[in-house]
Amino acid sequence: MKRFIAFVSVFIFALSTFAQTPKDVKYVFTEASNLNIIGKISETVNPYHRVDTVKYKGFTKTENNQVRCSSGLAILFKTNSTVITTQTEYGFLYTGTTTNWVAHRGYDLYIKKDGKWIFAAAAVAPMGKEKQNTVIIKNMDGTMKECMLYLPLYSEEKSIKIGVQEGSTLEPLESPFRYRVGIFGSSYTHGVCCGRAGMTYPAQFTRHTGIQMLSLGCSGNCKLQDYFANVLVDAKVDAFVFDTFSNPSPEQIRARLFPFIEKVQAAHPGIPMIFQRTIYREQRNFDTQCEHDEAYRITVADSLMNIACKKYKNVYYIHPNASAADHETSIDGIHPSNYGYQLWEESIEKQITKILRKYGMK
Amino acid sequence: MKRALKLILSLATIALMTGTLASAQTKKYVYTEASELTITGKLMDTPVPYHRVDTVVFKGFTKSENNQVRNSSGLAIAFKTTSTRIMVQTKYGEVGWPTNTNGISGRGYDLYIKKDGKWLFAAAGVSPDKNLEKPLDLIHDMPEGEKECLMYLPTYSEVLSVKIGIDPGSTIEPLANPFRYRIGIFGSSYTHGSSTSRAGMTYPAQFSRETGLQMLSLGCSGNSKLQPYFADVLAAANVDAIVVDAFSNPSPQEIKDRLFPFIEKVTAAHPGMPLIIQRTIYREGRNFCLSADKREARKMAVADSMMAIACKKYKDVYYIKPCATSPRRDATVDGVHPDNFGYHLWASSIEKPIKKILAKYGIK
Repeated sequence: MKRFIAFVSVFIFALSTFAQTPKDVKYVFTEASNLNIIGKISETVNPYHRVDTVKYKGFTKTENNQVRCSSGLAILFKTNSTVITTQTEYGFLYTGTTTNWVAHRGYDLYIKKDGKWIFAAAAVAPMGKEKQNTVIIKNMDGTMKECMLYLPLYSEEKSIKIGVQEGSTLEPLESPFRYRVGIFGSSYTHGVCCGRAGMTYPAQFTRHTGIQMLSLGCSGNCKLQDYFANVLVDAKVDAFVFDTFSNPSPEQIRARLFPFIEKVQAAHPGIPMIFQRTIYREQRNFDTQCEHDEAYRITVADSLMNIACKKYKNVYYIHPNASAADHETSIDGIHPSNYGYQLWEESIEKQITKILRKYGMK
Repeated sequence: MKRALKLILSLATIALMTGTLASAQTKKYVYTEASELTITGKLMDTPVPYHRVDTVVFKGFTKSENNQVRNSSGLAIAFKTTSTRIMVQTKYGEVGWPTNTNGISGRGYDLYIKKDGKWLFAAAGVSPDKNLEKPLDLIHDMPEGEKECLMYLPTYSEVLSVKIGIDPGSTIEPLANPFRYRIGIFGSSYTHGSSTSRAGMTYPAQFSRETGLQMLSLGCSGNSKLQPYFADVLAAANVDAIVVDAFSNPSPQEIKDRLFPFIEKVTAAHPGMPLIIQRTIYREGRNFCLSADKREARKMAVADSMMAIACKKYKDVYYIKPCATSPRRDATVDGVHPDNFGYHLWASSIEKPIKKILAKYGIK
C-alpha cells in the first residue's frame, strides 16, 4: 500500500511538473478576432474598433481615436495551454497620467472556475517594447479552461495575436452572456482611472449579471451628440443604458436631450432607454466652483429627465453611486477607483435588471 | 449710433477678455518650500528633506535601492492656509515610470483637508509627463478661511524641491504634526505603494489617517529582503515601534538566513520596543499560476514556521496576518499588487492587531 501511495505521489508530482510551462516554450499564434469577440456594439472593418469611422462621420479627431479604442471588448476562448501571451500591433496610444499602463494598453485575463469568472492575470508589454510577445500568464495546469481576455481601454489595436504553447488547443468559446445592452457614456464608461481593463463598471456588470453590455464610452465626449445617436440608431441591441450627463453643459443637455431620445427611440421603438444620473465627484468636497457647476448640471438633468420619463414611453432615469462612506474611492477627484466602479456597478444592478425584466430580459 | 454702440461694446468685451487672460497668466502665486512647513512620515533626518534615508551616511544599498530610499513615498506636508488655491512646483531628481502605477501616484500629489475632525480627500494631480516641472494647479475655488491640509508627496519619484504656491495676500504656515508617535515601517512594493492610484492610498498612509498613529515609511519596491544594511537604518531611527512587511520579497532561503540576525540587530538597538512583523498577503496571481502558488505557499510556510520560533525566542517580537483580498477577488491591479481598495482592506486588517500590541507599550 505504501508503495502504491508513493507511486501515485510521484505520478502526481510528475504530472504537475509536466504542467509547468517549459523555459524554451514554442508558441503558436492566433489572431484574436478569429476567436469570439464580445462587447461589440457594431460591426467594424478593424475588429478591435468599436465604430467604423469611415461609415460614421461627424466625430472630432479625439472622438475618432476613442471610438477606435478597444474599451469594453473582450476575447472569449478555450485553451489547455499552460501559457497565454499577447503580441500587439498598436495604432493610437493614450499618454495620460490618470490611468496606468496595465489598464490603458494592457490585457486583463479572467478564467472560469466553479461557474464564476475569477481574475487570473493582467499585464502589459514594457515601455518602448510595445510589439514584444508578452506573457500574460504561465505555469498553469494543462486542463481545458474557459478564458475571457479584456482588451486595452485606451489604445487602438491593429492586430492582437494570442500565443499558446505549441501542441495545445485554442478555440473560440461560445459567449455565456445574454442579450445586447448598448451603453453610451463618458470617461466613466470608458474606464478612466481603472487599474485594469476588466474593472470598468460595464465589464463588472456583465460579469456579475451575465447580461452583456456593449460599451461606447468616450472620455469627455458623451454629450448627446447627434452623430453618436446615428451609431446607436444602427446598433443591434435589446436595450440602451446612458451615462449622458457627465460631460455636457447644462445648455447642451437642454438643447440635445429630447432630440437625442427621439432619434434613438424612432429607430428602436419599444426597447428600454435607461439614463443614468452622473455621480458625485469627490472634487466637490472643497472646490466650490465644481460643487456649484456639478449641482447645477444635476439639477438640470433631473428636471429634464423628470419630463422625459413622462413624455416618452420606455425611458427611465436611475441614480448610480460610486462614493464610499469614507470618500476614498476617487483617483483624481473626478474618476472613481476600481472600487468606486464596483460600487457604481452594484448600485445600478438592481435598478437595471428590474427594468429589463419588464421587457422579458432576465 | 447703433454701430458706434456695438463697436464700443465689442472693444469693451475684448478689453475685458484680454484683462482676464492677462491676469490668469500673470497672476503671481507666493511659493513656500514645503520643507519649511511640517513634514510627516519621515523616518530620519536627511540633507535633502524629501529623501527617506541619507545615502551618504548609510551604505550597502544597490543602485535601485539607493534611488528608492530617495523617493518620497510616505512623506506628507502638513500646513494651514487661507488660500483658495494651492499650486505645486516641483524639481524632480530620479523620476519613476512604473507601468502598474499611474502618474498621479508615481509622480504627483494627493491633498487631504480636515473637515469635521476627519481627513477628507480634496484633490490629486500631476503635471503632464512632457512638462513635469510645470506648476501644478492642485486645487482652486476653495472656500475662504483657514484650512488644515495634508499633502502627500509622490510615491515613485525623488523630489529635490517642492514649492507650495498660494494666492497673494493669503497665509501659509506649518501645521503641528497631526499624528502621534513614530512607527517605522520597512517593507516591499506593497509598503512603497505600488499600484496605488494616488500617494495617500498606501496602506501605511491609510493606517495613519484612520488611527492617528504616525507611520514612517521605508517601503522599497522588490527590495525588502531583511538586508543587514536596512537593519542599520532601522537601528539608527528614532522610533517608538517598528512594523515590517518582510516576507513579500525574500526567498525562503533568505528568510531562513536573515530573519534572526535582522531581528537581533534591530531589537538590540531598540530594547523593549515592539517589533511587529507582517505575513505577506495572498496574491491573486496565484489563482491559476501553479508556480506562483507553489512559490508563495512555500514562502509563507517558511515565514510562518520561522516566526513561530521568533515570537518565542525574542521578547517584544510579534507576527500579524494582513489581508488585502476582497470578497469579489477583484482588488488587484496586476495579480501581485492590491489596488487602492485592496490596500484599504490591508490597513483595516492590521489596525486592531497593531493597536492591541502598541497599547501594551502605552502607545495609544
